[in-house]
Amino acid sequence: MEVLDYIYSKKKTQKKKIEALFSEMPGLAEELEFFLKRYLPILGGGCSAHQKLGDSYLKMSAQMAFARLQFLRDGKYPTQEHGDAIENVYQNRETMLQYMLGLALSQYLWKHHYRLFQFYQHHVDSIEFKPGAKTLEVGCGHGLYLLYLLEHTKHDLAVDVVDISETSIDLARDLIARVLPEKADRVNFVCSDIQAIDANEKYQFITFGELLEHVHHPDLLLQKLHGYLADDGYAYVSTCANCPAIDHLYHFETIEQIREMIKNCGYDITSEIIAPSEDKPMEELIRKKIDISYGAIIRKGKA
Amino acid sequence: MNTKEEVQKIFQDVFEDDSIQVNETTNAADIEDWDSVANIDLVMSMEKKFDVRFNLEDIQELENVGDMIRLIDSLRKQ
Repeated sequence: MEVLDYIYSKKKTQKKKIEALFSEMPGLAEELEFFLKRYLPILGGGCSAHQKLGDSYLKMSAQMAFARLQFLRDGKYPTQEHGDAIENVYQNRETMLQYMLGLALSQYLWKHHYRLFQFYQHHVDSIEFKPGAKTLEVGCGHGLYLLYLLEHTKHDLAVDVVDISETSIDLARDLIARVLPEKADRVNFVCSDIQAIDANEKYQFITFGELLEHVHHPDLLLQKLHGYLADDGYAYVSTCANCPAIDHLYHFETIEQIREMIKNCGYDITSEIIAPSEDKPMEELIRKKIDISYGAIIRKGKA
Repeated sequence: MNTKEEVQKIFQDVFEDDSIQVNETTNAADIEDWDSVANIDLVMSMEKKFDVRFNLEDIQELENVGDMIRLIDSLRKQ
């Protein structure tokens, strides 16, 4: 694949990890090709699109590695203020676009991201959505989760999407317009900080992947979304422990802390996935503070 | 010890293998356990040993042991 050849030519160390993943995950190469076929056109297609995607992935990988180095040096995430994340990342079009494109490709090149995406797909496939059900996604990022939800649900859903970054909104909107033009009018994009929104809507399904670590008070956000979730609805939540990045603020130290917060905010966890970023024994993951992703399907608790 | 010898010692310590011999072209493909976690361990050990700090651009450029040695030597001259 052209994009992989480009990445390997720029960074030989990537080849070892990616090839190992491809031999471990049958079908992944085919999925990656399908993703590229649909995603590259929004970057203009052709050779420059491959390079743009490859460069974005390499920059994002280096940013993650450097954030990890800073985290291990200082014992805290490198970004401490929400305002800094807004100014330096969410509202910085070049940085945000590169970051989102890199993360989009990582859904297929990083095992833990791929596993979380698979988990989401499996559960979306199994939910019985009512015709015209209203759903919400907070933090659409690269748009791949939104695309999957729209494409793989039997009935036409109405989806409200809230994202703090105009760049993310544009990217997701463009993706849906090109790949699923017939469903584009089902999506209502809102560029805003979810923490500042007050609405009276109830949603059958809420997606908030990789969101909790971006705020100072994830418990308040969980409580707020609890109010938006229908009594018989479900939500998909994902976050991570020990996962420094250029825009992560809240530091979960363990998976147990994540679970506890979710439960304390009034949810039951119906299904979950724990996906370490590296294939290491749990003892080593914890000792070396290696990032572990966590995803869950949750619903309102019965208590 | 010169920089290369010190770097070799760091590799032996990080991978807990005294038989590891590195040269300028040694890269992640040559050492089975050299993954992203080990890479951070190597970088942190080098920062500590040589009293230097790597930045984002430095991290992006590191491909092999030769890159590491040259970077350390240039940072120590500053």
